[in-house]
Amino acid sequence: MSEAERQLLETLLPLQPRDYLILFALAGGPLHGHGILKAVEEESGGVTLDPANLYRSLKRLERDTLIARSGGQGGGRRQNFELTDVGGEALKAEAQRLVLLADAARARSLVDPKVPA
Amino acid sequence: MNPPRFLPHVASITYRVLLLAYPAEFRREFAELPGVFAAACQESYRLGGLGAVVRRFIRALVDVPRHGLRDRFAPPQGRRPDDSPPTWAEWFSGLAADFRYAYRSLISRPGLTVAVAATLALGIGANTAIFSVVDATLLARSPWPDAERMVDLTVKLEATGGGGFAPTVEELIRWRDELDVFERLEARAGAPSVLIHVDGSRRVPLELVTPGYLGALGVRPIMGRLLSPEDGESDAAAVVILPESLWRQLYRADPAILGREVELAGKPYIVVGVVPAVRGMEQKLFAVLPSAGPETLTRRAAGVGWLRPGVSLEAARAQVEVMAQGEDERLGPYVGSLAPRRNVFWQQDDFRTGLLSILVAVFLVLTIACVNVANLMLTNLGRRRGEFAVRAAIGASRGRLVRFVLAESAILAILGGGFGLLVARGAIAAMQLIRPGGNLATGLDAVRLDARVMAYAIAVSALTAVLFGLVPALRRSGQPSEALQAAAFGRGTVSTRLGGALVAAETSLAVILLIGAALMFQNFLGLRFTDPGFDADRVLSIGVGLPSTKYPDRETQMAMLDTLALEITRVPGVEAAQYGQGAVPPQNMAMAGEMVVGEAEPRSFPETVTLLSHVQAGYFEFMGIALVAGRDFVEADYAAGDDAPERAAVITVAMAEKFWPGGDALGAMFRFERDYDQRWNRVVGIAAPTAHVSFEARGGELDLPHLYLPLVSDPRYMDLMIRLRDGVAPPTPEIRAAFARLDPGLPTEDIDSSAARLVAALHGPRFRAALFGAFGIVAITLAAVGIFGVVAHGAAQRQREMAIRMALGARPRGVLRLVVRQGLTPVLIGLMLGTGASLALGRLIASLLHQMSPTEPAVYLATLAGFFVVAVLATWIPARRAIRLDVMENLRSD
Repeated sequence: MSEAERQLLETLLPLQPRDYLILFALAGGPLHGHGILKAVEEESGGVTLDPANLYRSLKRLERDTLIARSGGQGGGRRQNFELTDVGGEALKAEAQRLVLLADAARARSLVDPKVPA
Repeated sequence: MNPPRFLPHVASITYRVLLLAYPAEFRREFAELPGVFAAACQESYRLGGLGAVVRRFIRALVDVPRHGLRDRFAPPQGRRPDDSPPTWAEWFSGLAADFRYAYRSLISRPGLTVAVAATLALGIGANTAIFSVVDATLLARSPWPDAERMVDLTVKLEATGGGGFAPTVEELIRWRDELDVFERLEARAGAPSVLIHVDGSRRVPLELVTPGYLGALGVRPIMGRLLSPEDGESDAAAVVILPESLWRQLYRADPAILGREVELAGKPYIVVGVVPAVRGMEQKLFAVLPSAGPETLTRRAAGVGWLRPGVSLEAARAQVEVMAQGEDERLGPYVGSLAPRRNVFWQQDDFRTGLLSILVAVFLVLTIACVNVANLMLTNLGRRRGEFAVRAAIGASRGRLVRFVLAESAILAILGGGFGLLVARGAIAAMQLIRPGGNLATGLDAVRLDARVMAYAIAVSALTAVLFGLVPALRRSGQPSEALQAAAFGRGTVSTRLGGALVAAETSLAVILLIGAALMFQNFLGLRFTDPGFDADRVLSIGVGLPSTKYPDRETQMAMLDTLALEITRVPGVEAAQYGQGAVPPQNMAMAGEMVVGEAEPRSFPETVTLLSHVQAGYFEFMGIALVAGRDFVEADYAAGDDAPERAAVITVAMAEKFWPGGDALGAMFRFERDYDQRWNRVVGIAAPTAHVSFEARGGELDLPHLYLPLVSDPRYMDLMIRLRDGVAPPTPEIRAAFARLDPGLPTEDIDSSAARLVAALHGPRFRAALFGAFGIVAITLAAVGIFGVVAHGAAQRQREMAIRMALGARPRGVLRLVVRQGLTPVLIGLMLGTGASLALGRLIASLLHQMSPTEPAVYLATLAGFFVVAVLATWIPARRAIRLDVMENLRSD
């Protein structure tokens, strides 16, 4: 990863929860819009998401070079979205931050001990 | 569970529509979105059934417009290459920036902002207030069913066309059967009455109506019933309908009132119903108008009719004027007269002309305000031209600059509109305080600032914003480089020609208003200081109507009147008391008919309008009316009775001059050409004129011929006049007590001093004078501000030139004269235009003036001179300030 990319990454972290979920859904491989919608709704516990709003987020993530589009633009053809290298790094960094936060919460006995680590 | 087949179609179409909230670019980029939404809906249906689909739709309904609109107005940065045309989103965000900038720019120039906003507030406020009044009066819709076919049937004198009084009940009944233009003809007659109730007595107006009247007006009883035809039969018990307000006030809304007996005008009535407030008759009781018996021959009632569908008002009028005929023994023959009920105020020419002329005045004020604001903005734009040049040079399009000026105008208009509404509220409250009296007063009570009026004010504000925003905005033209050069060297080159044209325009408008105001004011003063011709502040009067139920014959009536007069003269402070008919100025009755003058060589005057008063002996001394020649009435004039061959008469100077221009009136004879009254009258005295109210109704002729005859007629309706000792306050409570001692049933509410009646009679002219005066002051103030602004601006622009002139030896006086002369040129043009327009418009207000020409030269000269003085001041002050400059300082600057 180039120095420029590392600097960009720093400005983007921490990720917003929804962006994290989108990147997380794309970690398994490229998805089309409906696939991302389904995945994000499932991951966030069944919250209904407006597709246009999701696409706004996708557009923003694309502008920030966290994801990339493949497949034909426009004409109703399906577009696929996939993680870029920067996106992958951002996802990793955010996941680590969340784990640290979760550990800290455990240390303060905020988490039910029955929930596995 | 498979989703219904139509679901994807409905979902994708709905979503397509919702997506319109997003910028088109977004829609193009993600054309697959409706498909994604449809697929998501199908998925939701499979997992969670219909409920899940509904949740998804709701989410879309909330989210799509919200985010889409946000993207339109505050788009994310840096998306677009610079050379593509601006999107809507950018246009809107630019507009928001314009508003912010305009707001800051206005804040930084508080003087100009306040001047403009105040100017607008005055114009808009006056407009809104007057529109409210017009809305509540002229434009008020009639509350009656089939109002467009509803007419009032009265009668007018054949001889003069005057009148507007009611035919007899017998005539109305006959006409109803004979005329076929009416689908329905009802009648009503007012009667004063006193209602005796649990806690005492109270004067309430009684309305005698035909049984079908209330039903025809669409009135539904709250309780009980309306009047029925059976109630009108001669052997039926007298019944009465109470209005809701009285039922609540006097009987505490007691439902047991139905069937109870109340005493009304000395007679028992049974209450059979309670009705809600009927507009214009809120406090009235309703009883049956007798439609049979001898009473119908004398009782007069106004007809209220509904024309048959398809019958035009003109056709109905033609029939009524030919077929509906009758005669009054004193006034002469008359014919029917129809007036449409569409709007009661439109029937009154005087009221209509008054209100319309006020509307014109208000429109002029708003126009002046707009011109003024345009002017202020213009001078301001000149000053800011450099700034605009810079903005244009760095790429702002002309459209962008126009938009900025419009944004500034809009903010000012909103400010002006807001404050204008406050001004309007104040103006309406003030108008209600001045109380113009009569029908206008009842209309005024209903005046409220409502939503429509508010919309009107906002429309006026918006129009104003566009109007004055565009004038300066469109002036900004020419090459940017030129403007930039000018800006860089500090030389604003806005020509003052347009400013001059605006000054001429507003001057002419203001002159029209001022001349109108001056005429109204002069008219009011003329009326105000007219000598009433009698001791107005020493004479009280009160109407005495003896009910025939209690005072059945002439003897009991005369006895009661004598006792009452005696009792009143015993009240401390009272000097004397007299009875009269039509004898209380300013409310003398007018009559018309043919008159024959001169016994030896009779001359006939076919259509003579005179005031007629029947008075007692010593009337002129009693009233303090001066006798120019001859004598007062004496007891001997009354002793002769009706059989005497001649009768004494006193006439006014105006009457003497009209019928005996040779000056030999005293001792002359005259008589009326009437079947029942052809006795000769001998002129025994000539009296000075007294003020009377009919000046409003009779085209402003203040000094109508006035005839006094001995009082001999019907003693049931009299005016009791009470002369007070000099300097005594009216002992009204004691007089009321005296009445109550003799007969508590006689109402005494309308006891009033003649001075008060005179003042009341002047309400109309005073109201108009005050209104126009206010408009005139606003107009001249606005015009002065406009002249001041243009001259100051022009002088400031030419400071350098003046400095050079003075450096080359010009004297300050000469330069001052030059500036003043140039400033006054458009004012003089405006004065000429305004004078011409006023002369042309004079006819509009002619009917509102009494004994005054609408082209009165003195008023014109005074107004124009006054305006000129103000204009000279408005020019001289800024000009003087401009030449008091340091010559070197000016030459060196830049």
